[in-house]
Amino acid sequence: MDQEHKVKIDDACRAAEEFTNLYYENLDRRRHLMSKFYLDTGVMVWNGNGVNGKDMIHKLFMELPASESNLLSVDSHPILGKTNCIYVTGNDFRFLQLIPVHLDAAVGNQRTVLIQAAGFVTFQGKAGVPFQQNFMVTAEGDKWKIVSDCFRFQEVVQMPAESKAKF
Amino acid sequence: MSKRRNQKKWNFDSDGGYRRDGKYFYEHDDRVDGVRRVSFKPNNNRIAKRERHQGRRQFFGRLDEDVEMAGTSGGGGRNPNSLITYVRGRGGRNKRQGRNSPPPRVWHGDGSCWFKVTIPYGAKYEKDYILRLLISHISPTIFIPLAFRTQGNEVTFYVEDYEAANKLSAANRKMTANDGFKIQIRVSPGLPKIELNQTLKAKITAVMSKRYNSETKALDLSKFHMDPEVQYLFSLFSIANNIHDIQQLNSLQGLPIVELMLQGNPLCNKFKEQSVYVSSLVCVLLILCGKSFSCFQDNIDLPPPITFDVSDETSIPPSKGSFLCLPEGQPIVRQFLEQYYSLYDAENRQPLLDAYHQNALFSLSTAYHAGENSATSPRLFDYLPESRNLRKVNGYERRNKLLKSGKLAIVTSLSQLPSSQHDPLSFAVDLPIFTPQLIYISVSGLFKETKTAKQPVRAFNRVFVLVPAGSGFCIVNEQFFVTNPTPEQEKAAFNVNPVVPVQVEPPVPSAVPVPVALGEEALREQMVQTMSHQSGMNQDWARKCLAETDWNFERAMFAFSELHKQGTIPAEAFMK
Repeated sequence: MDQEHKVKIDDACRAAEEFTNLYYENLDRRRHLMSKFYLDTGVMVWNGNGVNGKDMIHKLFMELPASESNLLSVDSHPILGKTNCIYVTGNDFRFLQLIPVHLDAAVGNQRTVLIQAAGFVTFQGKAGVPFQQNFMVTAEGDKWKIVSDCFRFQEVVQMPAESKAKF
Repeated sequence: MSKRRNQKKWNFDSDGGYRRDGKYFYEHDDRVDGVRRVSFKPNNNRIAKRERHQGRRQFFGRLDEDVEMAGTSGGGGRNPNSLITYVRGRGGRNKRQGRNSPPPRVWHGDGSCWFKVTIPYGAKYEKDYILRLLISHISPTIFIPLAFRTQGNEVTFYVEDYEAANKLSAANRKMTANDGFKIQIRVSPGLPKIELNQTLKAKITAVMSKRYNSETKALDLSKFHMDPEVQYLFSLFSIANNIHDIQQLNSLQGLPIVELMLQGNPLCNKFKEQSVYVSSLVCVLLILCGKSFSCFQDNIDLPPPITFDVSDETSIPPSKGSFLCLPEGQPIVRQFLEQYYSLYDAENRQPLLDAYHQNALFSLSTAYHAGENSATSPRLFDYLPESRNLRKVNGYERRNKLLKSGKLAIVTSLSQLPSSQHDPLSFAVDLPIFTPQLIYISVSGLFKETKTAKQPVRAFNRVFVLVPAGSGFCIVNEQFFVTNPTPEQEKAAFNVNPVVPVQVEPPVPSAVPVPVALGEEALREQMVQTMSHQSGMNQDWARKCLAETDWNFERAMFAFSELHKQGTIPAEAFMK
């Protein structure tokens, strides 16, 4: 592995640790600021309920009951190679949110990091439950921003027959 | 004042008011003006009598005490044994006790005695674990934890046993949990407030109909909570049923109450002015019954309330099995998962080599759930050495070592993980990013270890980042988290008879050509199938067409449509 990759891997770890601390602290204490973590075109999928765009993400967060999160595990690594993200705004998912150009195509040099977190969360009015969360975070200027955020309770998902058959 | 403080000191400090021979030395404290302490004794008749005498004042005194009682400061001198005491001021007024004072005793007229047990930070332990710990600590005294619930970091439950409450209080900071923390326990008097759900309502209804006398149209609710069928219910009140506080009526929430008789309850005497009483009732009943209700209490008509139309509702949206940012992504994701997991669950994981990019990155992480460890739960030993949990693994070198780079390192690492069988019905799949240049898939679900003793079920969460490669896709990044399942998951895993009938779909015709590249042969075979399906040609001709266009699916389809327009494709090509 070349030196450049090593630096990126190290950066990803640092970003992930800092990011997860801030993210869960804000989730529990300053919910109204949560949408600032996201790109304007960021995607949030909360237990299979997907929304995109800062406004919708803000709404989703504000409607959730108060929470108390405990983080147990964090892992992170960079998407290597040269990635250049082009953002296309749109009202629905039919528009492309992100076009990272494939690894080997040397265009631009935008840092993008994957973060996987796991822990235990208690939402008011609901028994505490383990959760796992996956982020794709990219550097926009001097700020890390969430491109995609998938949150899942560790639970038995009751699916209608139709969607169950899909996977 | 200084006198009282001295007395307090005398009572709480030194040996905590407890003589070596086990007798309470303030047993005759009645004589001391200003401070009175009632302590536990196996025979508490005397206390009961005295408290009954104190009667109503006690009940009111309690209302002020409904705040956090015993601080967690652990300030020395707190007498764990004098859990239940009360302080009466000189003038007969109830005085608030100091922060570290023990909670006052509340004696319920019917001989029952309820205590709220709070365990700060208890939420990080499994319910089973913490209860077992408590039970074994105060053994042989037993208790039944009622209305066990988690709120924030705390867990709370209620006990109706005087002795158990005392012992639990004494156990504060005496037990060490498996994570090395001393368990704090706070005990205060308190009645459980139960939320009514459908199950509870059904039970209430059953018991009520049993107790209903249709001849006299009377409903007997005495000792209702003791009824064997409502072991877990205590929240029904009526005439002379010991309702101290109007807030307790919240327990009735959801019941379609149209009439409420409260005579003879201590709460009725709490209000000096009837108007205050009435308006308080209106507020409570508004919460209970929604907007339209009519209520009579002691034959007082309550005026309908005027409210504000502001709702601040929060809710947890119900979980969905999958999210797809683009429906078109579904066949590709599905095929990818099918292919990937058929190879991953196979005896030999080597063929997965083709699924990874030359410079792909992979890492595994694992963690026991809060309160779990290798002694209490199925061991995660097969995963722990490779776990790159950044919260545990420090140091650049070690983190780097645990990050697998390149297809060979990755598949070698995967091959060393326990053999597995995944349960596709447990999968929750999200596809937040699906572009021609990058696909991001997040999968959560269950698998079992097929060659491990007892075949433990594990829960996982896995992220795949795919990019186009050749005529298919390959994985450039993968993150794999493994942990133990929740009890519900374990029960549901590999359930061959799911409640919801699962439709078996025929192979989905792919709207998007060419799924994932997993081996040249498999890929070509799939292209042939897809081509055949989309063009209507038989497989031989589809293969021929693809071979002639260098296995470029788009070119093949283009060539086909051009030739088809020209009508140059022989009829036999379409014969299947």
